[in-house]
Amino acid sequence: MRFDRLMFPLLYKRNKNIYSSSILTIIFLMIISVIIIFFDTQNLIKSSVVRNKVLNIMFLSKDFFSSSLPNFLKLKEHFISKKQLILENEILQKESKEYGLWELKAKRLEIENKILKKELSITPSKINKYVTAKIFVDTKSLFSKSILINVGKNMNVQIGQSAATSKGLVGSIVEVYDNYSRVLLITDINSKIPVRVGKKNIKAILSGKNKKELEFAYFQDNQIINENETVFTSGDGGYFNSGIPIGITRIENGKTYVIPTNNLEELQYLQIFLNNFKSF
Amino acid sequence: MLNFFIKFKQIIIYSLPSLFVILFTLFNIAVSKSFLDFGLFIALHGIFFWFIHTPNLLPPLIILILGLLQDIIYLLPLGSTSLIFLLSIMLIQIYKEFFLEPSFLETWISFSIIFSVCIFSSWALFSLINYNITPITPIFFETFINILFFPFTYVFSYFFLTKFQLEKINKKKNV
Repeated sequence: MRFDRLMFPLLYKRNKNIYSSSILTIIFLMIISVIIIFFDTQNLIKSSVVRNKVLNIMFLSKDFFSSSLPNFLKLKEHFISKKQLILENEILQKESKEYGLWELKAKRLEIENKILKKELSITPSKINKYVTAKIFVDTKSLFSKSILINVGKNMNVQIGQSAATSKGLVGSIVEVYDNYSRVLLITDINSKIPVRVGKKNIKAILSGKNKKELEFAYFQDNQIINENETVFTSGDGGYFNSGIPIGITRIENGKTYVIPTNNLEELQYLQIFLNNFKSF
Repeated sequence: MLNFFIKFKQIIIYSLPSLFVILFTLFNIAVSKSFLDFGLFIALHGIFFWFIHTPNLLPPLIILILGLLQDIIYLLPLGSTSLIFLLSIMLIQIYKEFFLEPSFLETWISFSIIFSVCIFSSWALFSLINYNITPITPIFFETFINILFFPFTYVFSYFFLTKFQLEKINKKKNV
């Protein structure tokens, strides 16, 4: 290894012996790559099947290696002292009391809500079924925004179901594997969501741009969207349930953006709604 | 049984360059992503180093497969990353004709140029595939941190190159 020399590359003479068939091989493989891209983008091949099988093998091998390693967390548990356990117990008892109070308040509100709904004679909405998932691998890149989560076919997750947190929509399921699935985030360039904006319920299509914020791809005619208005899913097209918050509008240099309510960079857990289309 | 282990060790040594490329990808996904995202082109560190020193152990077909693997992991159109990786090795092949015995600094500068060409080509390619211009500003940051990080991967890879005498194996092996 030599650190002392910096010379202009063109000063070196060409070594024609190295100029071999390898360049031709590379060009040939590049043509193959272009053909694969064409077939994949035009949906002439079922790339999801290939992705599914390869990722399943990867996850299986990962599970195999991680299960054969000793569980260091359990070893650590043995070293926790009695004092620490007593302290932890006290904190947990306090927390459970607080949660008890919250539960009571929530129940009271629920009863009150039911009475009010009966008085207004509103038909009861169907309860959303969901599973909570942990983000397994963050596969966001410059050119695509997706994440892998640790629930899949084993929890009845299906393509098209929406992923959200208590703050709002995160994305939708695009690929499902045995124990894992992939969520396409709302900020991805291929994400298009039918929405309603603000109190006026203006219909629009929201599109991701591989940026932190989202942009409107389509507006209802002659409508003005103000700043700081909440954007909800409209449920049009039956892809998402209606009324899931997405973000808040912001106007910069005359252009309207939507800032997602969730910080997609710091997500750890999310909920997958299993009963899409039921309220549609 | 002993024979099996010797053969297994040999296979591992032969496939070290490919394993390095996978290792860099996994490093970014599993370790560094939460605080410093090197992006999917961190694999180019491995491809660049090993294709210069041991091209016979990292043939273009393997690079095509590694690219496809990246596409599967990152949900990109199949073949797109392979195309960029193959473009990079074509550039490295041309570069190798100019440099007979490159110094570290020459290698670093060449890596910076090749990396920049590849990342901007990929930006153009993905914009073309999506019929939509993807944001260009994050590319500058990603290029910068990758160029900055290159000496570390270089030293790390160089250690294994000398430790297992992979250049000698490369000369013996004709893939």
